[in-house]
Amino acid sequence: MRQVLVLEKVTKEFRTYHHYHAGLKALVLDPGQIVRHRERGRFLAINEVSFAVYGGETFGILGRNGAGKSTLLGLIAGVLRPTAGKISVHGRISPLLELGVGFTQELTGVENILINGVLLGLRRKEIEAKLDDIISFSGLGSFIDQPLKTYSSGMQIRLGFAIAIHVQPDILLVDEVLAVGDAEFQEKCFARITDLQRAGVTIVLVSHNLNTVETLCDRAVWIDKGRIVALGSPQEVVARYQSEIAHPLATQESASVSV
Amino acid sequence: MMIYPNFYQTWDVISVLLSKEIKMRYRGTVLGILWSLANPLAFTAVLYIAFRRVLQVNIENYPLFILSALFPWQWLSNSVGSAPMLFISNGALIKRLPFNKAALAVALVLNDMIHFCITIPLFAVFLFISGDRGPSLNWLVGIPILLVTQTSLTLAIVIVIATLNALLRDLDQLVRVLLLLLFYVTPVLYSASMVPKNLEWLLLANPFSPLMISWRALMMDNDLSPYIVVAVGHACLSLLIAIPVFRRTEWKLAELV
Repeated sequence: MRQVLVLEKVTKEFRTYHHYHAGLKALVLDPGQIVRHRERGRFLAINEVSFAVYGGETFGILGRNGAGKSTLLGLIAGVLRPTAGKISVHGRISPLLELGVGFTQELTGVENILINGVLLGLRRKEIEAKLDDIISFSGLGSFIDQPLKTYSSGMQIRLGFAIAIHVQPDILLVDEVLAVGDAEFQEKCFARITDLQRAGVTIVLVSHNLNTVETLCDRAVWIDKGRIVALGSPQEVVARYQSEIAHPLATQESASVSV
Repeated sequence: MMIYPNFYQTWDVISVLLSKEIKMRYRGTVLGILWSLANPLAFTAVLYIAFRRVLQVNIENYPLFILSALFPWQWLSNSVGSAPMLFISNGALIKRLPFNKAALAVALVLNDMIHFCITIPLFAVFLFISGDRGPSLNWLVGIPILLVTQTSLTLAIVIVIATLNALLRDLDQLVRVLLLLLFYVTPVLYSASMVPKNLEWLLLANPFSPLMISWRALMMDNDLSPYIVVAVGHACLSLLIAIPVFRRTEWKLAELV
């Protein structure tokens, strides 16, 4: 199997920018704080993480809130730049956006498809050619010409989902979106994801729902405090995650946060 | 950027953002785009009464005199005024999609430019009605030059302010105050010739003055003013500052907004 996404010792360090957010006044009155903050205000969100994702597999990223999952996804999507290490991507990446992101509530479904499709990296002509497919896939019918504010949240997710998969990504990034919506809709999402899996799309799925990871993923990684704790089959990783969340590790190194 | 390697795709991003802005601005209003004329026209009426009738300022055709600089000023001040929140209000997109963020600034400035362009034929109609000389062939040369110059200058300023405000949130307030001050320092309500000799350097130093003087010379007197050269100089200089500032900070925006 071909590697489509490779992370080599990827590290992401954030500077905390609170000194700027305190505003101009604080900056003028106490310029020394910049230097102090530069030294103290560092936060290691991702610490030397390495793994590879193979073409066609579904790869789960598991972890608690604040473990670094979303940072990792941002790095993979190319929105964040790693402080150190290297990320190689082969193919077109498309994030499945959370509910409401990139949508304009005042505009119609069709108008939003155009905007979102282009923002996701397609040419305008490409997305126009796929318009009918997207509309029929979304199952929104005549609602597609109504402003988005008249949609239920389930309908908006359906639209977002329809756009994201018609971008024909080689790698689809999914961040927690599956947690929204009713049971029926979630089932639909799972069905679509299974379709995509069959079509050979690589999926990177971020979740803290253990069940999702176990049923959908081929492999999974558990991230905690910016480091890989476990990497392997979803059953193994989930089992370790469960047992160690119940009995917290005594060996958490202090390396990840230096405040 | 892996996904956005080519220029044409970025142009598509600009065009969808632009058409979104244009659709959004007047959605649900009956008079639609006419509202963009309401503000400068009302302002001109007030100024006409205040300066021409009450203070007896001796400028011929005073309402048109004001509008010739107030329309382009409105474009400039709308764009610059929206600049501080530009990246912040689009934070959700910036955090998730690796698109060229300059597209947001280009769409903003072009949106206000289009609204300005609508006022040009209106201004020509006013000129005819007032019995003054109508537009001349110089408009065909001057208008494109000034449009490009003002777009470049405004874009450079918008990009710098939008980027800096991601770091220092004070700029939103500061920009409002500065725009108000600049409005009175720039010859919009008065003519450049009314500025005392010892303050003339201000007309050259303030990047907005040469533009407004040039617009007025073109629209009122069909003149291609030598101030156009100064305006082009200001635009080039601002771009020379803005482009490296933006290049160095663009990738950090996703962490800041």
